[in-house]
Amino acid sequence: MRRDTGIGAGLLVLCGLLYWQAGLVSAPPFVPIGPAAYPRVVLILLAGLCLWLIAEDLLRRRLPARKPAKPAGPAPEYGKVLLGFILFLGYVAGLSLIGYLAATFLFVLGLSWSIGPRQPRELPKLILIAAGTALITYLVFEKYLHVFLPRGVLL
Amino acid sequence: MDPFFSAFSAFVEPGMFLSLCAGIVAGVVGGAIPGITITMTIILTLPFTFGMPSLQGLATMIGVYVGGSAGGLISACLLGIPGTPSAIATTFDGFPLARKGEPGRAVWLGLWASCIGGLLAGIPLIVGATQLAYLALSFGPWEYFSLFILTLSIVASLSEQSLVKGLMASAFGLLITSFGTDPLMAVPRLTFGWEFLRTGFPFLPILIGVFGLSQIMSDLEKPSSLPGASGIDAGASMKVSHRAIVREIIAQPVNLIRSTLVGLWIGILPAVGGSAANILAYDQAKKGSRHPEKFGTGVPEGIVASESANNANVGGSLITMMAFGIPGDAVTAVMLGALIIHGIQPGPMFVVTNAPIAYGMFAAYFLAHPLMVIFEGMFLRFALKAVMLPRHILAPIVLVLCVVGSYALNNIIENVWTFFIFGALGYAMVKTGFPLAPFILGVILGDMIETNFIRAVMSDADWTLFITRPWSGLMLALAVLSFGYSLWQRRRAARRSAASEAQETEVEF
Repeated sequence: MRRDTGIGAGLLVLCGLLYWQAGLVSAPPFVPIGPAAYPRVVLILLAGLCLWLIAEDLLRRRLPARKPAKPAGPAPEYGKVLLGFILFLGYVAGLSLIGYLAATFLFVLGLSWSIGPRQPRELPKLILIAAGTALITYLVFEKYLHVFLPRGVLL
Repeated sequence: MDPFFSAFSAFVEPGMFLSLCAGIVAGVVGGAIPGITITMTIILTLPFTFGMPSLQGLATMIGVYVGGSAGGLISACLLGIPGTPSAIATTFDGFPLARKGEPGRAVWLGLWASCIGGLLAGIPLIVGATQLAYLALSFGPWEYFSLFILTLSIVASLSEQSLVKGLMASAFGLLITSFGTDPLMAVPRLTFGWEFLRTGFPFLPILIGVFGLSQIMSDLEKPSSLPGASGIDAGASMKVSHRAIVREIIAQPVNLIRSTLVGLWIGILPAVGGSAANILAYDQAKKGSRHPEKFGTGVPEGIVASESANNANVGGSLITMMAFGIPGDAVTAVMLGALIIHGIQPGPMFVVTNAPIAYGMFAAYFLAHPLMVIFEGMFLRFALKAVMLPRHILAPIVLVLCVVGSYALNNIIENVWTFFIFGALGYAMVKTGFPLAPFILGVILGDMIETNFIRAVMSDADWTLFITRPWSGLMLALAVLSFGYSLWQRRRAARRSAASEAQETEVEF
């Protein structure tokens, strides 16, 4: 299955699911348009556009294949993106578990080390930056702007 | 004009003035760092404004917007890398001029052009925003509904990628606002029994995620590290004769005014932004020049065109935001969010009922331009150092500030999860060719479209009123025209590209 067809099909399933969910909304009596009407109109519109996307993709498949464009420059480093997402997911989960200060320190250190040049002599600098980021943001937001940052078992 | 001049007195107060200055400095530094856009800078500034009075917060943001629009020229001229998309065209002539041994002239030409272009665009901002707001006050729900549909259709049609993907992104944005309590009858819908969804997805974490996280992740893909200031003599003097620079800019009035008008117009169009303004103005300057062949070699006209247009674009975006409550770009979308947080309803009533704040914003806009010249001049060396910060240091710090910004909205961790989910969605959209601007506009306008649609139908069941009421009919007709024109343009481009490919194949044989 081609990418756009897959996206269109996936979104069509989502539209169907949400259309059914919208039907479960209890409508107040004596109103010409209930609360389910608007989402349903948008869902029908989105479903129509999904069909358009699928049709466009299928029609493109029938046309003679174009010459693939030469990639300009080196290949993207998707591994770093994946690592970034995993570390960030861990950070968000860690905020409520170990608290803002500890989670932020570990996240900044972990991400800067993993996407950086990974040289041991850089480590003290990265530790300092991670500690500084956690501490300065904590002091500015918690103490000055009175934002009650997440607490956990650590800090 | 009286309320406008009295609005300046608000900035005599040290807190207000310092906030505006801090915004400008943040904008200049953020704008100068490649990969940190003005949107990102304003997102990072947002949590600091939560505790401020409304006008002080908005003045800070205007400072960021104005400073950021000009900040991009530092790295554009000295490194050859545009600090923001608004400074792409500045690179074409700014960098060659700097490499010729005139970095000071390149930077200061851009700075003064930004200032003059921005100030010129301030006049239509004051006159236009107020007049358009009074016009918008005569609108009923039919006209508002049609206006929002027109806005969405323009944005979806202008998306560079596929038209259907632009429309799908808009529809998906509208769908996101359907989650949670409906805006008129307060009935919960599409909540899946999850308490957090009863109030719907909060707008700001979506915005921060879609633009912030996706931008950082897209940057992580790029393998190359930042190049140094190649070709520029690090010890080269940045000193210039300011009188001579200003005289040089004023000596090209056609270029200056044309570029300002281009920037202003692009700013008024929703969600097109400074990136299009500077390139279009540069293109027009080149076409209108007596020596177009010299463009790209370091001619001052190119720098003046690009920089006056991107700051005039700020004025245009503010007109649309203040008169109709429609964001001209992502930066004004954040400002709209800030207005809502401060309990101010954006829309035409804003200028009328919150006149002190509206005029205060005009005053902040005018003050920000000369201050921007002063601060950017002062921080030129510092900004250049900030530009050289490696990505592996910058990315985690920016992400932490985005997390705190999302969390600080109402101190709940669910906002951070919203930020993460929509950040991942934004990245996926970028990778699959779905434009972000129509999506975010759909999220912003969703509730307003629904409210006005239901109000129109409830006050009169006659559906033809959407077409027969003059303004409403005109705007719907324009929406159809914009959609049709975009479809025609894309078909024509596809036919041309197919024809040129066929020709190439013939030549190969």
